[in-house]
Amino acid sequence: MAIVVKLDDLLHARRMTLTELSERVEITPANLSILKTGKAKAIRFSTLDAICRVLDCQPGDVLNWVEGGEE
Amino acid sequence: MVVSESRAMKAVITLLRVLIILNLVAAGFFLLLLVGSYADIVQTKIQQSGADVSPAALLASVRLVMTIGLLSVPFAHVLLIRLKAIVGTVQAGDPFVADNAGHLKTIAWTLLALQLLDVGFGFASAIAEEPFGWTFSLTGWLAVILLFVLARVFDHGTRMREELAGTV
Repeated sequence: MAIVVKLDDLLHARRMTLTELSERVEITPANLSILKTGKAKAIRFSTLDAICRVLDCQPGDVLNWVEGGEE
Repeated sequence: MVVSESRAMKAVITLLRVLIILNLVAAGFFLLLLVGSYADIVQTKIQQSGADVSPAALLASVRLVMTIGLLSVPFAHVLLIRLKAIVGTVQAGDPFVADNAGHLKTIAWTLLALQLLDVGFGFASAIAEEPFGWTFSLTGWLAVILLFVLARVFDHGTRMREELAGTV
């Protein structure tokens, strides 16, 4: 997928763990981990909304598009 | 899963196991009768029976019926095995897997084969001067169509579920 999830960088910048984020966005750590490792096939707007609200960022801060990513 | 439901699935699996064995027993029975119809003693008995039907026509139709029965055994076997596999996934609590769409499609094909053999059975009934009560039934054909459609629905549903599983 040519979409890169930058959740790791965001969490690092905000000194937050994945578990903490999962509690605050009310999404299981397992699902967040799928998102973080780029294994997710799709992301719900509600998920993106919750992450942006908790991490105080824009969707573009969470997701990046890069050319030539594997399909 | 509800306990009673799980118990029902267990009963269904047991029933299918019994049917699989009975089907194989039937195969032996058909084979025995088919081979037996060529035995001299049977041929003499039929000729002596004094039935209104001509012995040659009776023998031909009996052989055709036994052959159809024998041919239907492998299809019925595959059908039962695949059905058991589906019920197994229901019992395990995860029936919406891609394999089941394939199973349903195979079952549809086997049922189609069985329906065609049934037509052959009707043909045998027609050539026997004393027909053995075969009537055309639309139900089986409808079931074939229904199964093919269901297999497609299942295939689609499984893919949708896979997509949903990857949605965060």
